[in-house]
Amino acid sequence: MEEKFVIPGEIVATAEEFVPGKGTYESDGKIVASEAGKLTLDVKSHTASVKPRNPVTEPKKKDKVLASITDVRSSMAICDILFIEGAARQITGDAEATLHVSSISSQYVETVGSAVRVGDVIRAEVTQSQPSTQLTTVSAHLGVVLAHCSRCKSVLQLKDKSLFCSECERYEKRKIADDYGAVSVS
Amino acid sequence: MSYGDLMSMDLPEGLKLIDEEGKRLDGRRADELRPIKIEAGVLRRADGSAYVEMGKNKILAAVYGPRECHPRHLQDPTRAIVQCHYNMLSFSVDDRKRPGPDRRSVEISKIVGEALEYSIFLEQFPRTSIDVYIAVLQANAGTRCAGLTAASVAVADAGIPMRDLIPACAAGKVADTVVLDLNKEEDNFGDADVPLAYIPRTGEILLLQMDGHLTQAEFDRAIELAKGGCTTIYGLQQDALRRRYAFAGGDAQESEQEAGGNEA
Repeated sequence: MEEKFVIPGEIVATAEEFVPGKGTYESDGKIVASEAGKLTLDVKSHTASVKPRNPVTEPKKKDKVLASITDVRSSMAICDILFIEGAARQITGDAEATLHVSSISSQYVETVGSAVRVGDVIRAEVTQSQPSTQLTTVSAHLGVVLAHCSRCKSVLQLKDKSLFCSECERYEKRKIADDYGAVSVS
Repeated sequence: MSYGDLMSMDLPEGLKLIDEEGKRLDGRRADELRPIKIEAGVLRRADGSAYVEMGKNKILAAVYGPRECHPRHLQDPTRAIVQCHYNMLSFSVDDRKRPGPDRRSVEISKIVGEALEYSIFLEQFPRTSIDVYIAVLQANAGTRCAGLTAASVAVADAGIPMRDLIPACAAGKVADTVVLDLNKEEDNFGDADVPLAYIPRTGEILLLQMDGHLTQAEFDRAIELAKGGCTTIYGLQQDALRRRYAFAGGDAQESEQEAGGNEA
Protein backbone atom coordinates (compact mmCIF):
# COMPACT_ATOMS: atom_id res chain seq x y z
CA MET A 1 0.00 0.00 0.00
CA GLU A 2 1.30 3.36 -1.05
CA GLU A 3 0.07 6.70 0.29
CA LYS A 4 0.35 10.13 -1.23
CA PHE A 5 -1.52 13.44 -1.19
CA VAL A 6 -3.35 14.17 -4.42
CA ILE A 7 -5.43 16.96 -5.90
CA PRO A 8 -8.43 16.76 -8.27
CA GLY A 9 -7.23 16.23 -11.83
CA GLU A 10 -4.01 14.51 -10.82
CA ILE A 11 -3.28 11.27 -12.66
CA VAL A 12 -2.77 8.63 -9.99
CA ALA A 13 -2.59 5.35 -11.92
CA THR A 14 -3.34 3.71 -15.24
CA ALA A 15 -6.53 1.83 -15.98
CA GLU A 16 -4.59 -1.31 -16.91
CA GLU A 17 -3.29 -1.55 -13.36
CA PHE A 18 -6.04 -0.20 -11.13
CA VAL A 19 -9.81 0.15 -10.87
CA PRO A 20 -11.15 3.57 -9.93
CA GLY A 21 -12.42 3.50 -6.33
CA LYS A 22 -13.85 6.27 -4.15
CA GLY A 23 -12.51 9.71 -4.96
CA THR A 24 -11.14 8.74 -8.37
CA TYR A 25 -12.45 8.30 -11.90
CA GLU A 26 -11.27 6.89 -15.17
CA SER A 27 -10.52 9.07 -18.16
CA ASP A 28 -8.66 8.07 -21.32
CA GLY A 29 -7.13 4.97 -19.77
CA LYS A 30 -5.88 6.92 -16.76
CA ILE A 31 -7.14 6.90 -13.18
CA VAL A 32 -7.57 10.50 -12.08
CA ALA A 33 -8.20 11.86 -8.59
CA SER A 34 -11.50 13.70 -8.15
CA GLU A 35 -10.98 14.82 -4.56
CA ALA A 36 -8.15 16.36 -2.56
CA GLY A 37 -6.87 13.84 -0.08
CA LYS A 38 -4.76 10.85 0.67
CA LEU A 39 -4.30 8.42 -2.20
CA THR A 40 -4.35 4.71 -1.50
CA LEU A 41 -3.21 2.30 -4.19
CA ASP A 42 -4.36 -1.05 -2.92
CA VAL A 43 -2.27 -3.62 -4.78
CA LYS A 44 -4.34 -6.52 -3.46
CA SER A 45 -7.69 -5.41 -4.85
CA HIS A 46 -6.05 -3.20 -7.51
CA THR A 47 -8.16 -0.26 -6.44
CA ALA A 48 -7.07 3.35 -6.43
CA SER A 49 -9.01 5.46 -3.95
CA VAL A 50 -8.71 8.87 -2.34
CA LYS A 51 -9.66 9.56 1.27
CA PRO A 52 -10.74 13.20 1.16
CA ARG A 53 -9.36 15.68 3.71
CA ASN A 54 -12.62 17.60 3.94
CA PRO A 55 -15.30 15.03 3.04
CA VAL A 56 -18.92 15.87 2.41
CA THR A 57 -21.08 14.59 5.27
CA GLU A 58 -23.97 12.34 4.40
CA PRO A 59 -25.95 10.66 7.19
CA LYS A 60 -24.77 7.06 7.52
CA LYS A 61 -26.13 4.18 9.57
CA LYS A 62 -25.23 4.51 13.28
CA ASP A 63 -24.63 8.28 12.99
CA LYS A 64 -26.03 10.29 15.88
CA VAL A 65 -27.92 13.28 14.54
CA LEU A 66 -29.78 16.25 15.95
CA ALA A 67 -33.08 16.78 14.20
CA SER A 68 -36.08 19.00 14.60
CA ILE A 69 -39.59 17.58 14.30
CA THR A 70 -41.50 19.18 11.43
CA ASP A 71 -44.64 17.04 11.35
CA VAL A 72 -46.32 14.46 13.54
CA ARG A 73 -48.45 11.82 11.79
CA SER A 74 -50.38 8.88 13.20
CA SER A 75 -47.56 6.37 12.82
CA MET A 76 -44.48 8.49 12.38
CA ALA A 77 -42.84 11.85 12.84
CA ILE A 78 -41.13 13.74 10.02
CA CYS A 79 -37.89 15.46 10.99
CA ASP A 80 -35.30 17.75 9.48
CA ILE A 81 -31.78 16.71 10.32
CA LEU A 82 -29.95 19.76 11.67
CA PHE A 83 -26.47 18.23 11.79
CA ILE A 84 -24.58 15.06 12.51
CA GLU A 85 -23.04 15.05 15.96
CA GLY A 86 -19.27 15.43 15.72
CA ALA A 87 -19.30 16.41 12.04
CA ALA A 88 -17.53 19.61 11.10
CA ARG A 89 -19.93 20.65 8.37
CA GLN A 90 -23.58 20.69 7.46
CA ILE A 91 -25.12 17.58 5.98
CA THR A 92 -25.21 16.92 2.28
CA GLY A 93 -28.39 16.19 0.42
CA ASP A 94 -31.87 15.70 1.66
CA ALA A 95 -32.18 16.56 5.34
CA GLU A 96 -35.62 14.99 5.70
CA ALA A 97 -35.86 11.88 7.88
CA THR A 98 -38.63 9.85 9.47
CA LEU A 99 -39.02 8.48 12.97
CA HIS A 100 -41.47 5.58 13.09
CA VAL A 101 -43.66 5.10 16.15
CA SER A 102 -42.17 1.63 16.71
CA SER A 103 -38.64 3.00 16.97
CA ILE A 104 -39.31 5.85 19.40
CA SER A 105 -38.93 4.06 22.70
CA SER A 106 -38.32 0.62 24.17
CA GLN A 107 -41.64 1.04 25.95
CA TYR A 108 -45.04 1.05 24.29
CA VAL A 109 -45.84 4.38 22.65
CA GLU A 110 -49.53 4.87 22.07
CA THR A 111 -49.34 7.89 19.79
CA VAL A 112 -46.41 9.66 18.22
CA GLY A 113 -47.69 12.90 19.78
CA SER A 114 -47.16 11.50 23.26
CA ALA A 115 -43.42 11.15 22.61
CA VAL A 116 -42.47 14.03 20.31
CA ARG A 117 -44.17 17.23 19.18
CA VAL A 118 -43.63 19.57 16.25
CA GLY A 119 -40.72 21.91 16.99
CA ASP A 120 -38.94 19.55 19.37
CA VAL A 121 -35.26 18.92 18.84
CA ILE A 122 -34.30 15.28 19.16
CA ARG A 123 -31.09 13.32 19.22
CA ALA A 124 -31.54 10.18 17.13
CA GLU A 125 -29.56 7.42 15.53
CA VAL A 126 -29.70 6.73 11.81
CA THR A 127 -30.94 3.19 11.09
CA GLN A 128 -31.18 3.54 7.32
CA SER A 129 -29.87 6.12 4.89
CA GLN A 130 -31.06 4.76 1.54
CA PRO A 131 -33.56 5.18 -0.05
CA SER A 132 -34.88 7.34 2.77
CA THR A 133 -33.37 8.32 6.10
CA GLN A 134 -34.90 6.48 9.05
CA LEU A 135 -34.19 7.33 12.66
CA THR A 136 -34.55 5.68 16.04
CA THR A 137 -34.61 7.08 19.56
CA VAL A 138 -34.64 3.74 21.40
CA SER A 139 -31.86 4.33 23.97
CA ALA A 140 -31.50 6.44 27.11
CA HIS A 141 -29.17 8.91 25.42
CA LEU A 142 -31.57 9.37 22.51
CA GLY A 143 -34.81 11.34 22.49
CA VAL A 144 -35.96 14.91 22.94
CA VAL A 145 -33.18 17.34 23.95
CA LEU A 146 -35.21 20.54 23.65
CA ALA A 147 -38.97 21.00 23.75
CA HIS A 148 -41.41 23.86 23.91
CA CYS A 149 -44.75 24.03 25.73
CA SER A 150 -47.54 23.14 23.33
CA ARG A 151 -49.69 25.90 24.83
CA CYS A 152 -47.39 28.90 25.40
CA LYS A 153 -44.24 27.83 23.48
CA SER A 154 -41.89 28.60 26.36
CA VAL A 155 -39.01 26.17 26.82
CA LEU A 156 -39.95 23.18 28.98
CA GLN A 157 -37.81 22.49 32.05
CA LEU A 158 -36.83 19.09 33.36
CA LYS A 159 -38.64 18.48 36.67
CA ASP A 160 -39.20 15.13 38.44
CA LYS A 161 -37.99 13.24 35.35
CA SER A 162 -40.73 14.91 33.33
CA LEU A 163 -41.04 18.15 31.38
CA PHE A 164 -42.64 21.10 33.13
CA CYS A 165 -43.84 24.44 31.81
CA SER A 166 -43.39 27.06 34.53
CA GLU A 167 -45.67 29.53 32.71
CA CYS A 168 -48.67 27.22 32.39
CA GLU A 169 -47.73 25.14 35.47
CA ARG A 170 -48.33 21.85 33.79
CA TYR A 171 -46.39 18.77 32.77
CA GLU A 172 -45.93 17.45 29.23
CA LYS A 173 -45.02 13.99 28.07
CA ARG A 174 -42.02 13.30 25.84
CA LYS A 175 -39.46 10.59 25.13
CA ILE A 176 -36.62 12.51 26.81
CA ALA A 177 -32.89 12.01 26.27
CA ASP A 178 -30.80 11.60 29.43
CA ASP A 179 -29.16 15.00 28.92
CA TYR A 180 -32.28 17.05 28.20
CA GLY A 181 -31.61 20.79 28.26
CA ALA A 182 -27.83 20.43 28.30
CA VAL A 183 -27.39 20.30 24.52
CA SER A 184 -26.36 23.24 22.37
CA VAL A 185 -28.62 23.11 19.33
CA SER A 186 -27.03 25.85 17.23
CA MET B 1 -17.02 58.66 -14.34
CA SER B 2 -18.80 55.38 -14.71
CA TYR B 3 -17.60 52.11 -16.14
CA GLY B 4 -19.55 52.74 -19.32
CA ASP B 5 -17.99 56.17 -19.81
CA LEU B 6 -14.55 54.70 -19.45
CA MET B 7 -15.29 52.02 -22.01
CA SER B 8 -16.29 54.54 -24.63
CA MET B 9 -13.40 56.88 -23.91
CA ASP B 10 -10.57 57.34 -26.31
CA LEU B 11 -7.03 56.75 -25.25
CA PRO B 12 -5.87 59.75 -23.20
CA GLU B 13 -3.25 61.74 -25.01
CA GLY B 14 0.30 60.82 -24.20
CA LEU B 15 -0.69 57.43 -22.75
CA LYS B 16 1.18 54.62 -24.40
CA LEU B 17 -0.14 51.17 -23.52
CA ILE B 18 2.98 49.53 -24.91
CA ASP B 19 6.29 51.42 -25.07
CA GLU B 20 9.10 51.22 -27.60
CA GLU B 21 10.73 48.36 -25.72
CA GLY B 22 7.56 46.32 -25.84
CA LYS B 23 6.86 46.82 -22.13
CA ARG B 24 3.34 47.43 -20.88
CA LEU B 25 2.12 50.09 -18.45
CA ASP B 26 2.87 47.89 -15.45
CA GLY B 27 6.23 46.80 -16.85
CA ARG B 28 5.15 43.39 -18.09
CA ARG B 29 6.03 41.87 -21.41
CA ALA B 30 3.21 40.86 -23.78
CA ASP B 31 3.19 37.22 -22.62
CA GLU B 32 3.49 37.87 -18.89
CA LEU B 33 0.81 37.32 -16.24
CA ARG B 34 0.26 39.67 -13.34
CA PRO B 35 1.59 38.41 -10.00
CA ILE B 36 -0.86 35.83 -8.64
CA LYS B 37 -1.46 34.66 -5.11
CA ILE B 38 -3.91 31.83 -4.34
CA GLU B 39 -4.88 30.66 -0.89
CA ALA B 40 -7.32 27.86 -0.08
CA GLY B 41 -9.48 27.47 3.00
CA VAL B 42 -9.60 31.07 4.18
CA LEU B 43 -13.15 31.13 5.55
CA ARG B 44 -14.16 29.16 8.61
CA ARG B 45 -17.92 28.94 8.13
CA ALA B 46 -17.90 27.95 4.46
CA ASP B 47 -17.48 24.31 3.44
CA GLY B 48 -14.75 25.39 1.07
CA SER B 49 -13.17 28.72 0.26
CA ALA B 50 -10.36 30.41 -1.60
CA TYR B 51 -8.78 33.84 -1.94
CA VAL B 52 -7.14 34.97 -5.14
CA GLU B 53 -5.07 38.04 -5.86
CA MET B 54 -4.30 38.59 -9.51
CA GLY B 55 -2.45 41.85 -9.84
CA LYS B 56 -4.79 44.39 -8.24
CA ASN B 57 -7.76 42.02 -8.31
CA LYS B 58 -8.78 40.68 -4.93
CA ILE B 59 -11.37 37.93 -4.95
CA LEU B 60 -12.93 35.71 -2.33
CA ALA B 61 -14.85 32.58 -3.19
CA ALA B 62 -16.93 30.47 -0.82
CA VAL B 63 -18.63 27.16 -1.50
CA TYR B 64 -21.47 25.63 0.48
CA GLY B 65 -22.89 22.20 -0.05
CA PRO B 66 -23.90 20.02 -1.67
CA ARG B 67 -26.87 21.02 0.45
CA GLU B 68 -30.62 20.94 0.28
CA CYS B 69 -31.72 22.88 -2.76
CA HIS B 70 -33.61 26.13 -2.21
CA PRO B 71 -35.82 27.20 -3.90
CA ARG B 72 -37.20 23.67 -4.10
CA HIS B 73 -38.51 23.95 -7.66
CA LEU B 74 -34.98 24.27 -8.98
CA GLN B 75 -33.86 20.91 -7.65
CA ASP B 76 -33.11 18.13 -10.08
CA PRO B 77 -33.91 14.56 -9.03
CA THR B 78 -30.98 13.22 -11.06
CA ARG B 79 -28.18 15.60 -10.18
CA ALA B 80 -26.98 18.54 -8.16
CA ILE B 81 -27.28 22.06 -9.49
CA VAL B 82 -24.64 24.75 -9.21
CA GLN B 83 -25.90 28.13 -8.07
CA CYS B 84 -23.16 30.65 -8.66
CA HIS B 85 -23.35 34.21 -7.41
CA TYR B 86 -20.78 36.65 -8.69
CA ASN B 87 -20.90 39.88 -6.78
CA MET B 88 -18.84 43.03 -7.07
CA LEU B 89 -18.73 44.83 -3.77
CA SER B 90 -19.61 48.51 -3.79
CA PHE B 91 -16.03 49.51 -2.94
CA SER B 92 -14.40 47.25 -5.54
CA VAL B 93 -14.11 49.96 -8.21
CA ASP B 94 -13.08 53.63 -8.25
CA ASP B 95 -16.63 54.90 -8.36
CA ARG B 96 -19.03 53.28 -5.96
CA LYS B 97 -20.62 50.30 -7.65
CA ARG B 98 -24.33 50.17 -7.09
CA PRO B 99 -24.78 47.01 -5.02
CA GLY B 100 -26.89 44.10 -6.14
CA PRO B 101 -27.16 41.99 -9.25
CA ASP B 102 -26.97 43.70 -12.61
CA ARG B 103 -26.87 42.52 -16.19
CA ARG B 104 -23.12 41.99 -16.13
CA SER B 105 -22.95 40.05 -12.86
CA VAL B 106 -25.87 37.81 -13.84
CA GLU B 107 -24.03 36.93 -17.03
CA ILE B 108 -20.78 36.19 -15.21
CA SER B 109 -22.60 34.10 -12.60
CA LYS B 110 -24.11 32.06 -15.41
CA ILE B 111 -20.92 31.39 -17.35
CA VAL B 112 -18.81 30.71 -14.28
CA GLY B 113 -21.50 28.40 -12.89
CA GLU B 114 -21.67 26.52 -16.19
CA ALA B 115 -17.91 26.04 -16.27
CA LEU B 116 -18.01 24.66 -12.74
CA GLU B 117 -20.99 22.45 -13.60
CA TYR B 118 -18.93 20.78 -16.28
CA SER B 119 -16.14 20.00 -13.85
CA ILE B 120 -18.12 18.76 -10.84
CA PHE B 121 -19.55 15.22 -10.64
CA LEU B 122 -23.09 16.48 -10.17
CA GLU B 123 -24.80 13.11 -10.52
CA GLN B 124 -23.33 12.00 -7.19
CA PHE B 125 -25.55 14.41 -5.29
CA PRO B 126 -29.10 14.30 -6.62
CA ARG B 127 -31.61 16.93 -5.43
CA THR B 128 -28.94 19.12 -3.93
CA SER B 129 -27.49 22.51 -4.68
CA ILE B 130 -23.86 23.55 -4.63
CA ASP B 131 -23.79 27.23 -3.81
CA VAL B 132 -20.79 29.22 -4.97
CA TYR B 133 -20.33 32.82 -3.89
CA ILE B 134 -17.70 34.96 -5.59
CA ALA B 135 -17.05 38.32 -3.96
CA VAL B 136 -14.92 40.80 -5.83
CA LEU B 137 -13.27 42.91 -3.15
CA GLN B 138 -11.16 44.88 -5.58
CA ALA B 139 -11.49 44.85 -9.35
CA ASN B 140 -8.85 45.57 -11.96
CA ALA B 141 -10.03 43.76 -15.12
CA GLY B 142 -10.14 40.00 -15.48
CA THR B 143 -12.37 39.38 -12.46
CA ARG B 144 -14.44 36.67 -14.13
CA CYS B 145 -11.30 34.67 -14.77
CA ALA B 146 -9.87 35.27 -11.31
CA GLY B 147 -13.33 34.50 -9.89
CA LEU B 148 -13.53 31.16 -11.67
CA THR B 149 -9.96 30.34 -10.63
CA ALA B 150 -10.90 31.03 -7.01
CA ALA B 151 -14.24 29.23 -7.21
CA SER B 152 -12.68 26.06 -8.55
CA VAL B 153 -10.10 25.97 -5.74
CA ALA B 154 -12.93 26.55 -3.26
CA VAL B 155 -14.93 23.64 -4.72
CA ALA B 156 -11.90 21.36 -4.38
CA ASP B 157 -11.38 22.65 -0.83
CA ALA B 158 -15.01 21.75 -0.06
CA GLY B 159 -14.24 18.11 -0.88
CA ILE B 160 -16.70 18.03 -3.76
CA PRO B 161 -15.66 15.42 -6.36
CA MET B 162 -14.56 17.14 -9.55
CA ARG B 163 -12.91 16.18 -12.83
CA ASP B 164 -10.21 18.81 -12.58
CA LEU B 165 -9.33 22.25 -11.31
CA ILE B 166 -10.27 25.08 -13.65
CA PRO B 167 -7.73 27.81 -14.24
CA ALA B 168 -8.82 30.86 -16.21
CA CYS B 169 -7.17 33.94 -17.61
CA ALA B 170 -7.68 36.44 -20.39
CA ALA B 171 -5.74 37.50 -23.42
CA GLY B 172 -6.45 40.45 -25.65
CA LYS B 173 -5.22 43.01 -28.09
CA VAL B 174 -3.67 46.25 -26.96
CA ALA B 175 -2.02 48.78 -29.26
CA ASP B 176 -1.96 46.25 -32.12
CA THR B 177 -0.21 43.65 -29.97
CA VAL B 178 -1.76 40.46 -28.64
CA VAL B 179 -1.09 40.39 -24.90
CA LEU B 180 -1.81 38.12 -21.96
CA ASP B 181 -3.86 39.03 -18.87
CA LEU B 182 -5.09 42.57 -19.50
CA ASN B 183 -5.13 45.06 -16.67
CA LYS B 184 -7.72 47.76 -16.28
CA GLU B 185 -6.15 50.38 -18.53
CA GLU B 186 -5.52 47.81 -21.25
CA ASP B 187 -9.06 46.51 -20.92
CA ASN B 188 -10.54 49.99 -21.16
CA PHE B 189 -8.43 51.34 -24.00
CA GLY B 190 -7.51 48.09 -25.73
CA ASP B 191 -9.07 46.58 -28.85
CA ALA B 192 -10.14 43.13 -27.65
CA ASP B 193 -10.46 40.96 -24.57
CA VAL B 194 -10.70 37.14 -24.68
CA PRO B 195 -11.30 35.42 -21.33
CA LEU B 196 -10.57 31.70 -21.42
CA ALA B 197 -10.91 28.80 -18.97
CA TYR B 198 -8.95 25.78 -20.01
CA ILE B 199 -7.98 22.47 -18.43
CA PRO B 200 -4.34 21.82 -19.37
CA ARG B 201 -4.51 18.04 -18.82
CA THR B 202 -7.36 17.40 -21.23
CA GLY B 203 -7.17 20.49 -23.42
CA GLU B 204 -10.85 21.25 -22.80
CA ILE B 205 -12.08 24.82 -23.00
CA LEU B 206 -14.79 25.57 -20.43
CA LEU B 207 -15.22 29.28 -20.96
CA LEU B 208 -14.50 31.43 -23.96
CA GLN B 209 -15.78 34.90 -24.66
CA MET B 210 -14.62 37.70 -26.87
CA ASP B 211 -15.13 41.42 -26.56
CA GLY B 212 -13.83 43.47 -29.49
CA HIS B 213 -12.36 42.47 -32.81
CA LEU B 214 -9.48 40.15 -33.68
CA THR B 215 -8.30 38.63 -36.92
CA GLN B 216 -8.14 34.85 -37.10
CA ALA B 217 -4.38 34.94 -36.60
CA GLU B 218 -4.66 37.30 -33.64
CA PHE B 219 -7.38 35.15 -32.12
CA ASP B 220 -5.24 32.03 -32.42
CA ARG B 221 -2.34 33.85 -30.80
CA ALA B 222 -4.62 35.09 -28.00
CA ILE B 223 -5.86 31.57 -27.31
CA GLU B 224 -2.30 30.28 -27.33
CA LEU B 225 -1.22 32.95 -24.82
CA ALA B 226 -4.27 32.37 -22.60
CA LYS B 227 -3.66 28.62 -22.59
CA GLY B 228 -0.11 29.25 -21.43
CA GLY B 229 -1.42 31.53 -18.70
CA CYS B 230 -3.96 28.92 -17.61
CA THR B 231 -1.22 26.31 -17.35
CA THR B 232 0.75 28.57 -15.01
CA ILE B 233 -2.34 29.34 -12.92
CA TYR B 234 -3.19 25.63 -12.75
CA GLY B 235 0.14 24.99 -11.03
CA LEU B 236 -0.56 27.77 -8.53
CA GLN B 237 -4.02 26.30 -7.79
CA GLN B 238 -2.46 22.93 -7.06
CA ASP B 239 0.16 24.54 -4.82
CA ALA B 240 -2.56 26.35 -2.88
CA LEU B 241 -4.42 23.10 -2.17
CA ARG B 242 -1.21 21.33 -1.22
CA ARG B 243 -0.32 24.10 1.22
CA ARG B 244 -3.81 23.94 2.70
CA TYR B 245 -3.61 20.22 3.33
CA ALA B 246 0.14 20.01 3.94
CA PHE B 247 1.01 16.48 4.80
CA ALA B 248 4.63 17.05 5.78
CA GLY B 249 5.56 16.60 9.43
CA GLY B 250 2.47 14.57 10.25
CA ASP B 251 0.37 17.65 11.00
CA ALA B 252 -2.56 16.09 9.18
CA GLN B 253 -4.18 14.96 12.40
CA GLU B 254 -3.67 18.35 13.97
CA SER B 255 -5.37 20.28 11.20
CA GLU B 256 -8.18 17.75 11.19
CA GLN B 257 -8.83 18.45 14.86
CA GLU B 258 -8.74 22.12 14.16
CA ALA B 259 -11.32 21.63 11.43
CA GLY B 260 -13.51 19.69 13.83
CA GLY B 261 -13.18 22.39 16.46
CA ASN B 262 -14.44 25.03 14.07
CA GLU B 263 -18.00 23.95 14.53
CA ALA B 264 -17.98 24.35 18.31
